[in-house]
Amino acid sequence: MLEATSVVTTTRFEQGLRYADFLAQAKVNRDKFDQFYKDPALTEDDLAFFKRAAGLPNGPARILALAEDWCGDVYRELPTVVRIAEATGAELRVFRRDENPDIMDEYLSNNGKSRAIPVFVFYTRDHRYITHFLERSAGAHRELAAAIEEISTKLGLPPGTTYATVPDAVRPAFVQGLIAKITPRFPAWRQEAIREIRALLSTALHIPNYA
Amino acid sequence: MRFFRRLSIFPTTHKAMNQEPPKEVPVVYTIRGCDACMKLLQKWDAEGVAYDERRVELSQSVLDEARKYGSLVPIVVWPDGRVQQGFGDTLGCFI
Repeated sequence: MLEATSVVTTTRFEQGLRYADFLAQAKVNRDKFDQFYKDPALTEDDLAFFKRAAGLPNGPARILALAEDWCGDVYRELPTVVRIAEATGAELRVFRRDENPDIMDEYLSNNGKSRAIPVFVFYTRDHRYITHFLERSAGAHRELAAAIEEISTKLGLPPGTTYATVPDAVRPAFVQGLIAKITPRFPAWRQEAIREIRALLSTALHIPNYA
Repeated sequence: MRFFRRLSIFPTTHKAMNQEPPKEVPVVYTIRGCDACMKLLQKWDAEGVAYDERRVELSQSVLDEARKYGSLVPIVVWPDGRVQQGFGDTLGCFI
């Protein structure tokens, strides 16, 4: 998503909302955003890594977030990125997904079928794309797949059952089981997301993934 | 904010739209940006199913109300008290 090919030009980036304005406009979940801002799940080691990355000439100095206030993954993850931006001096701009479909189209997931959020895009000071994070970590996706497999087995469904192929008759039990299984994992998924963002930056910037 | 739709092969009048929903229709908690929610509404609209839509993204009180029933929209509360979460081939959205 280089400047030359992305709809997110430097001018467009600057039109995004500051976090305080995004929060002020939020119709729901302000308490959740505040809760996770106060508990951002970042360690001192994480902060030291992000500060070191931001200190590089080609390091992250601008962060774009695609978000909606109603989304659980957003209110869990966005406050962490706000903390990273504050700690590193990076400029954060939030774009509401449903008002910016052209930006969302550049970061579709699930083979182009899903408009999953949050999306965090990291740019250099002169607005060159560095890397981006989509929705959840790979580890979280693996856990979700494992939970689906486990619940399918409990319900006597055939191996390889996916969410899309669960028979209607057992779908309520399947969904209940899945929610019960993954909800306690959300705090760990927040930490996984931080680890993944570190790994993405480490790879893109060719720097070791330690502070 | 509540949106009541009575959808059938017969035209719906504004008077009907402004009525309190009859208790026999399912209540569905939705987010209009949620693909699974939209697929459910499209299916019901095509089938002429009447429902009482409550959009959780517009109001904290409606969101809090939805959370009493579940954490994954669409959440359908049937007149007999049964609750269903999610719809279709995608997981839905956690609220």
